[in-house]
Amino acid sequence: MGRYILKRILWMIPIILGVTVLVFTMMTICPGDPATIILGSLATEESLAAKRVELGLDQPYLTRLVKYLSDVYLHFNLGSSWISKISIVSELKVRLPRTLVLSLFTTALSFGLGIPFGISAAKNQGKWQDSLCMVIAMIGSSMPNFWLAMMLVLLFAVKLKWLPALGIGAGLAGLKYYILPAFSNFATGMASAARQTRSSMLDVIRSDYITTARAKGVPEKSVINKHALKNALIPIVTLMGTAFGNMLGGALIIETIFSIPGMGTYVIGAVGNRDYPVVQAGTIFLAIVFSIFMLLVDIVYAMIDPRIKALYTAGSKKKVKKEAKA
Amino acid sequence: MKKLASRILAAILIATLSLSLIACGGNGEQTGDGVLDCAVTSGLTSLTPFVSNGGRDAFYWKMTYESLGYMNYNKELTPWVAKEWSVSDDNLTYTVTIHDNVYDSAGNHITASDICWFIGEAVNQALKPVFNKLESWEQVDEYTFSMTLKSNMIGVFEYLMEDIFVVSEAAYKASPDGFATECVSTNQYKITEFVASSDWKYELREDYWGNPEDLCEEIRGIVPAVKFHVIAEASQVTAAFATDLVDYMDGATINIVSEMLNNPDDYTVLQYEGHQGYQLFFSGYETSPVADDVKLRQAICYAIDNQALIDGYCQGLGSMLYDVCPSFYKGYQTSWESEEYYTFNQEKAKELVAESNYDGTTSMKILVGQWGSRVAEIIVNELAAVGIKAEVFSPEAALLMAIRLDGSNYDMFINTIGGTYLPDHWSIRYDPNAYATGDGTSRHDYVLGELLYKTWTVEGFTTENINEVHNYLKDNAIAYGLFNQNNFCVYSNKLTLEKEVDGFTHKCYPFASTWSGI
Repeated sequence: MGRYILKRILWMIPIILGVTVLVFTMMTICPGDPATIILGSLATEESLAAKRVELGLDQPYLTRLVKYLSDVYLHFNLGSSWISKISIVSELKVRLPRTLVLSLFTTALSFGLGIPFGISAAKNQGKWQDSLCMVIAMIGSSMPNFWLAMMLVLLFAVKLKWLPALGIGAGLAGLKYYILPAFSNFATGMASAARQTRSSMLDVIRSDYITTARAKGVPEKSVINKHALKNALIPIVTLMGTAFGNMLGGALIIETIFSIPGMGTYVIGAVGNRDYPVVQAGTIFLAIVFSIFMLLVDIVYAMIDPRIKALYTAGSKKKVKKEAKA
Repeated sequence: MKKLASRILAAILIATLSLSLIACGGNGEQTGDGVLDCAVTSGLTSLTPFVSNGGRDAFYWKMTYESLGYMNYNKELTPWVAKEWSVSDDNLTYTVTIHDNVYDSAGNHITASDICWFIGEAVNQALKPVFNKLESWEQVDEYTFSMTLKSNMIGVFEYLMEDIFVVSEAAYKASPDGFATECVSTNQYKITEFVASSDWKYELREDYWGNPEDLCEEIRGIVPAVKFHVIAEASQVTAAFATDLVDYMDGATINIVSEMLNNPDDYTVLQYEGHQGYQLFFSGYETSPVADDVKLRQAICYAIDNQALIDGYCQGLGSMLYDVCPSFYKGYQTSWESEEYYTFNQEKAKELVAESNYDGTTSMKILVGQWGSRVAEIIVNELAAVGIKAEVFSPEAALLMAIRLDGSNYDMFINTIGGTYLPDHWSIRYDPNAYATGDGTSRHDYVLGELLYKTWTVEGFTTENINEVHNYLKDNAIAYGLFNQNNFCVYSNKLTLEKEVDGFTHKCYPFASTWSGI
């Protein structure tokens, strides 16, 4: 298992490097001159030229790329924002946790509700429970998150005054600020989770080994929980990984509506200002977080699917045997 | 299975309920906490005193740093940290003396050396173009310095006095990030909380260097604590007011306050004329059909129904323009309001189109920022009614900035303009000498150029010269003032505004006005 995890971690290195090069290149070819944006349209040609030199934009692409890679990966220096001059690391330290909390909370809600809905729908295929769950899923997937956000704010913040309408707070009490944003963003994820769970469970429930289990007199609860669900989980876990990625990347809308200073608003604001260091660093960090989450997903695969676990265990045993022979 | 599902559901509901219980009682930042909470749609990304022109007029800058002088409500330069100044006979060299007892919140004594250092740094960073108009500057004695301008252009000294922030060189150099996240200033207020682009809080200092009573009421802090909250989403501003997160907002647009206008029991909405207006500029690039075709430009101006724009875009809460610039500008003549200014006339427009060189098939491109695409869409329809084809081109902000400098990328450009003096606007848009480097709306019109240059000097800024430029711009339809959208200042009726203090560009300065019930 350790070898498996190590292999997956090693795979992250080229992925992160690839993301870095790709984002750097895309920002370079993106139209819009950062010097003009910083100094404004009234700046003189001399000032603009001096600013370009200061930002290193007068250097050839490859020189800048190599310098950037060296700064980031050899000196662990992400630099400062060209616009605000604030250190990127210090901003990431405070902004990344906010986006992570929001994304994790939303993912937990989506799958915490979506999986039971899907199981219930599969178990009761063709009955009213199935229809009800699928109608809920359909409504969930067709409700835009910004609309749901407005409705939730009106009800829970403006009318009932239970929850804050926007902003952020500190400490445990600050968690209340994430409730409405998470509920606004969970519907689409929940709908996907419910539909995926239903579909996977239906495939598994029709398998021979489930029929065998039932024929042997195994209680229905055990059939579903121990035999069916475990085997149906693989595509659901995969979906969870991609859903988390979508939540991270799509945090912008929810962060803007709820005035949460997270990664979404930070990176998108920087794209508009052509603040290259912030866009690059923000994307790299989001890629790292996403890769770690996908690593966890792979580990969960190995835990729930003995075939994957056996693959690596078998690999280790062969190695031991070879060593013994030698 | 049912049990498992129930357990999961129960766990989620318990967690949600627990969090909701934590949340009970709302935000903890209710009205009555002694802090005036203000909403803004965008805010401070950094506390550095070296900033660009964007947001120059935001009143929170007057709470962050002090400057040598400021423009008062009557658009007159008023001393602040500067005690007095004099000017040489050629209007080029200004000698400024500052107060001798200025200290910042860290106890640093401010001298003319700090001011000269700030000027030097601002010139190097080139973030504000006005610093580029300085020829030289030097310290004369401990509290006096002089600065010489490259030319005696109207308004340059006033801008410099407003834009030179009073900052201690020692304090700035001791800061690890150049005041980006934590600043030291001489202001009456001190920033005690700061989350970039989100919210920040000011509290009155007890150790302010001067006597607040000596300050003019527009810059005198009355409110003990003021907190700003950035709320980018317009509809959330209403929710923030309804949940007592904010008490006050200035500079709001109609889409933010439309609901509040209908609710006078809960909100007071003060309305005032915007100071920028919306304008239509024509490309000066040779290949554009409008560049050298006066008849076509005039036809376009006649084809636009300004009242329809005010009704459609501002819900009727705006006013007509009688020049490219609104009445806020220094130099504006009220006599212009009785002149004929391209009153909507489709028949006249059609006649002018027929007389012009327009081929009837070329589609003209209207460049506009994403904020104004609706204005452009209305205009496209109005132009179609007189046989002129046009299309909207609305790129994101960074791309717009790159494109607007090149007149070959568009035929018309809808924009809002900022400035204090009419020549601010004229020098940017129409200067033939800036054709290669300036805005794409500048043109090879040296007759206009001569008229413009006459008004730029302190002596030449006369009614007669100003009228000449106005008439030339109007008669030749070089650019067209579309309409002026009203701005709004709104506050919750849980507060009582006992004394309102208006500012240069804002209604009711929040920190300087007297409130009860905060």
